Amino acid sequence: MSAVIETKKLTKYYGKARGIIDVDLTVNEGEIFGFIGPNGAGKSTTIRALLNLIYKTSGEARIFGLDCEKDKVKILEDVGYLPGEVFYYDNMRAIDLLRYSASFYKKDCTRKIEELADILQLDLNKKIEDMSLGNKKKVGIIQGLLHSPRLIILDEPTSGLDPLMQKTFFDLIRRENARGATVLFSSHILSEVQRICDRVAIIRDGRIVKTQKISELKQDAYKRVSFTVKPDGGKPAGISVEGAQNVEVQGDTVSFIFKGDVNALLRALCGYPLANIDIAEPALEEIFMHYYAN
Amino acid sequence: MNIYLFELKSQLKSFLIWTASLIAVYLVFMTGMFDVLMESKDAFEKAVAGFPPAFSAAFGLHLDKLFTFGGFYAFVFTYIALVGAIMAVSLSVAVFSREKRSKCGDFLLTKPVGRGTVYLSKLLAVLTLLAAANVLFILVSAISCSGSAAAGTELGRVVWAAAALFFTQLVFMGVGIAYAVFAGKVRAVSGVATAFGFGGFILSALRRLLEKEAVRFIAPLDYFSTAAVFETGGYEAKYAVTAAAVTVICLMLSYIRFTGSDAPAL
Repeated sequence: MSAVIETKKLTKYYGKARGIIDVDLTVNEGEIFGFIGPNGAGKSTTIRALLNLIYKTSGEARIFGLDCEKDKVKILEDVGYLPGEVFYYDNMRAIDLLRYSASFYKKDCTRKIEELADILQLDLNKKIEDMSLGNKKKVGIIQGLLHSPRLIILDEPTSGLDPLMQKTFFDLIRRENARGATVLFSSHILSEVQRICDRVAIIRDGRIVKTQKISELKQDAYKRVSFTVKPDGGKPAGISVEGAQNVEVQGDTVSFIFKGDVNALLRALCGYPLANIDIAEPALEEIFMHYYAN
Repeated sequence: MNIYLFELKSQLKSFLIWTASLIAVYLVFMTGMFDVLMESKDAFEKAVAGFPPAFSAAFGLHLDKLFTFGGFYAFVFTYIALVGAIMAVSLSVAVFSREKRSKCGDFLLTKPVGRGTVYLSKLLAVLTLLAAANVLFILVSAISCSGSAAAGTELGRVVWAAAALFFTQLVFMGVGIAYAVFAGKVRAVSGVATAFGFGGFILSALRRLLEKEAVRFIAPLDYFSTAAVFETGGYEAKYAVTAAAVTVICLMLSYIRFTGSDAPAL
């Protein structure tokens, strides 16, 4: 599997202020790659360096094996970009903006524009400035996808879209992915990333903390366990099993976080007259907080 | 090419209004007021003689030359150049700050086109509009000078004098582009253009008041003197070179900044 995006020790400083430091990232062809971190962690800086909107301080950034600065024009022929906030020229109808956008690519995008507008239920003859935030976002989605790019870069893409339209958007991204497009999906909304991505990189304070498959990330992490004993079983004092942390006892209920041998956990739990038990997959948020915990 | 055509189309209305204004100002003064002025020469001389000398100097009223076609042309040109300067800055700032004002720089800069190409396409669009306006202006000047008012005036000198507008506009274009590229925010194009135009006018008035030639080097509306064209047949080389230097430096600095700086995050 060849790498569509590859950065090596990519670093960007804004004067003395930290942007990103030594970011190593590999996004393989055909995958939907999540890029998560809170605001200010360096997600947008990484993306803007990849798109050559900003110039790197040091390191290497390559897309399709080409240098992001030297070969920018060649790279951008096959890249679609949707920023978090969409702004367009004043006084333009959506169709005029999209035709202008299409004029930069060496292909006829008319059919794709119509098809996407149909899926997203967007009136292309309306002036963009008269549109709602959600509809402006739809214009952004169409302009990012109209040339059927090989790489789609999404930077916090769902803000402004209602839940129904978010579903349509994710379906659209999956369809583009099935067509062969690679997707870099940056977000601080972890459920979004969990919903659509194959792998994820977590960025913190400008550095990549971890890159892992979503499934591995969840397996690798803690489980949240909560059990309640029967009223006649006496008050539980807690639990003693290797891997249990943060044990809390409230009346008949014991809650704790567990990472270890699940067989040992089950053996320990068998010692209690259980009325109820809940062993939950941790939410990505919890995993995420684990990486962010100081 | 698409950026060039997009900019031309976006500025078409503004271009038509400015060009019509320039030609209207020229025709009103040169074909209308000049004849009236010549007919009321004595009364006008008495009125101007009552003005404070500084006032007459600041507004370019030189009675010894005013009653000749070339002299009157030079007087009128002060105001035509002012309108032309505002027009040049307005077009330049509008074209070069379009993405900054609309916050859509990311849209354009993530298209498969180099920043150098974006800059040159925009520059070419502004140059095309200014050239088109000046072709019309020179044509109108040439046609109107065949009338009685300009009897005895060499056509070549009229054309050359009218071309001073284009060269003056090039200087203001350079300044306007540099402003648009270097300014952090550009809010109202018309306000910026008017400020630069009147700034130039004040520098010219200052030059006339102080009567110091050195001040002329910082008075861009006076780099190309139509009075000199009617007297000698050409522009004064040292000021023409200054104009070229100012324009080239502005364009070079703005090109370096435009192509080499980080696009601002929204």
